[in-house]
Amino acid sequence: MFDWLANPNRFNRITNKIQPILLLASLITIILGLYFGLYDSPKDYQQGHAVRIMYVHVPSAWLASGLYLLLAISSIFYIVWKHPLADLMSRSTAPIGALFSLLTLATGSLWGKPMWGTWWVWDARLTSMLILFFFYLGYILLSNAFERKIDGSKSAAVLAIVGIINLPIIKFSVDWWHTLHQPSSLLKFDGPTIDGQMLLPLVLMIIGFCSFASYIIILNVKTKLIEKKCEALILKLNLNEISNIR
Amino acid sequence: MINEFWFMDGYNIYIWPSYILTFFILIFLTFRSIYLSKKAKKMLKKLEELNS
Repeated sequence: MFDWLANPNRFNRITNKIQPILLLASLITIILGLYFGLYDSPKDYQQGHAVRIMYVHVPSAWLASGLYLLLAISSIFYIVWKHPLADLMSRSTAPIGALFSLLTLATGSLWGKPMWGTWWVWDARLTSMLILFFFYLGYILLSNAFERKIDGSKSAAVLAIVGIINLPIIKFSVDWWHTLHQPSSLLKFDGPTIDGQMLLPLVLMIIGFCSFASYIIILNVKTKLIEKKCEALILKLNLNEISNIR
Repeated sequence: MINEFWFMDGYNIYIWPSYILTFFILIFLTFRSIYLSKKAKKMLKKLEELNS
């Protein structure tokens, strides 16, 4: 699949059709999610209205973890098969993942204060999410740290692959350790334990956030493809100039 | 009714900043990506003109 998509022209042709659908899907689902989440869903019997933070916190957390998985997979494709498009995919995914992990930490903090009485605690779930944010930052810094872009891409890809160990830790931290963070109520073997009226806006927001992130990543990959074309043209123009001088 | 919606039993100071921050990030990502895309397209057009 990735090999087939690795052709930039084919990638552009396919994504040109997908992009408007993704944008429309994200707009519709986020607007509906906001309506149900803020207005039409009940308050929690323990947490009251504070539960409404869940409708932005959980989708951000899922996206932050999901995007890291995408980053790691495209890094593997880059390291093993040397696909340039895989590198562009990783470079486009990392800043978005970093922002969503930061958003997860911030909204979690805003949820934690009224529920736990503290903005931050060195709890396994919170700490592993902070580490995920640092992995994203590490990837961004390392990929731009070298004079030759290819060196940065290789080193950052290795870091991204190493960081994949953090994903199961994030997921199972609430089961492995006694934490302040509540256990998983959505992705469970025996089905979600969340009420249907709350599940609807949550699922809508998750779909909305995922469609939005996909739209932005595709747009950024396309931009990076254009930038590559520009670099090639600049090189060609410089070579022409040099040969004219000679 | 509207007051209750905004006040959210006193949790408004936590709920609304969460939503504002989220939508700030979504809007920032959208505008930044569109801006960079337009900039790159403009640059490519210029270079292609120079090259032809």
